[in-house]
Amino acid sequence: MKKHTEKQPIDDLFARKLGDMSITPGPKSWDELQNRMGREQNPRIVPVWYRYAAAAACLVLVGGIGWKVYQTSESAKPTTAVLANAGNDSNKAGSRKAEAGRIENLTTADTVRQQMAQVATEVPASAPENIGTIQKVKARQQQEKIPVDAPGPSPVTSQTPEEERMVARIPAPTEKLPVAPIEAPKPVVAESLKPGLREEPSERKLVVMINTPVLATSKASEVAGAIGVESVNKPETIEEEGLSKASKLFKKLKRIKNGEALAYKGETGDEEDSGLISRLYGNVRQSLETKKDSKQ
Amino acid sequence: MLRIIPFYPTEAKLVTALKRGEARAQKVVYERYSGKMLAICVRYVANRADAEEVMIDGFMRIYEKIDQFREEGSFEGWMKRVMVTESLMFLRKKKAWRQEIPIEDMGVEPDYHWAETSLESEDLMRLVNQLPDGYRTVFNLYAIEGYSHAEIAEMLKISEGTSKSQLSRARTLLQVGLKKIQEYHYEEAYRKTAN
Repeated sequence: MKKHTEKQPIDDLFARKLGDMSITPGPKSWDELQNRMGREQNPRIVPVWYRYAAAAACLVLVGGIGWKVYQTSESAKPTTAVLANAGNDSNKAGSRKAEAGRIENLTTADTVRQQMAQVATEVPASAPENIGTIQKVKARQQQEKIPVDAPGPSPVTSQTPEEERMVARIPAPTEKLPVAPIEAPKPVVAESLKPGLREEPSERKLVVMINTPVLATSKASEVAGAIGVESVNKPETIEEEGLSKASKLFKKLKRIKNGEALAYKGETGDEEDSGLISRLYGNVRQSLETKKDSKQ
Repeated sequence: MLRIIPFYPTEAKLVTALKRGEARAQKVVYERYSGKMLAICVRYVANRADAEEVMIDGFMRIYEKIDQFREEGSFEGWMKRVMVTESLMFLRKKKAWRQEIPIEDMGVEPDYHWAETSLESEDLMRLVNQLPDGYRTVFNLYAIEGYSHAEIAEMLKISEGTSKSQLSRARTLLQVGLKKIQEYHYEEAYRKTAN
């Protein structure tokens, strides 16, 4: 395209009058244009609403998770409390005695072991003889155990493992006990709690440890004081040393089962299982902000 | 009625938004330029209804081909060229620019100064629209858009000689038309003063 050097007057007249002329199109022509674009440019229009759809889906997902967590945490509280209540009502006297008896058992067993160690060191060190002495010591231990168990309260020592489990479960929700309203208990949660506890019973210490939190130890000390056993603090030290890892893991498992881990920060202060919700919330907030920015 | 939506303060931002396929930018482009673009289409196609169809096709072409626009020239100039091309495609379907009509040359030049001051754009547009399609097309391309005969010959697939003769005939017809309007106005003015 080039500008003509000599322009005829008629060309010039029409160029100036018509070159920048404007004619307003009819009101329907934009709609017509959009209709045609809707027919022919579907892929271009899709992404515009696709983003909104994605945002809506995210919101629905987060809302759903939040509701689920809220529901499970609500239902978890009363059932454990009821369980604890039931346990207290039925086994109160028996459980207290049982705790005292077990503590006694432990302490006496420990003294026996110490005696055994002393005996073992006193014996001269030759290999075959050593084996023999160990066997003898074991035999002696068994013999000694019988009289040790005998003086304890008879219903306590003959505890069934089921009773033990009940006892173990009682003190766990001690903090929630006064607050929680008594509503329809859900056996499902109780069942889900069981296997977690069943894994541990081989170690007696673990069972004692679970019993020990504040209220339980105070009860135990009362009973133990009445019977005359002094070393009540010993199980606590064992708990702190030996079982910190296992108990943490167990607590975490339990909390995940209850759905608490999703909702709250772990009481132990662990960062791993905490703040899933807060992280989700953060992500959503961030996406909303970026969306705002892009709109602006 | 607010015709220009105050988004996209610069042409570059508008073009960038168009390239992203933003529906709002497309609407803004339509609001800003549809009047000028429709005028171009009317100038070529001559029929108002056909011209609107061509303009809509032109805007669709603009939205589709916006990636081909390089920020070398003006965006408006690029859009005008798209509209001209669209109009030519419409006329080509009609095989428009092969008609010839006999012309009686009046041999008298119209008063261009009077035409400049007294005539509206609509009057001149009416004159252009009365031209045969071939004459009108060549006149538009040469006199208003500024193409050379070689370019016009290339665009319309005609010889340069045809382009020149059609331009000459178009000019003559327009001059005759202007002269007739002028005479009509003079007669009217004379009648008013006589009464």
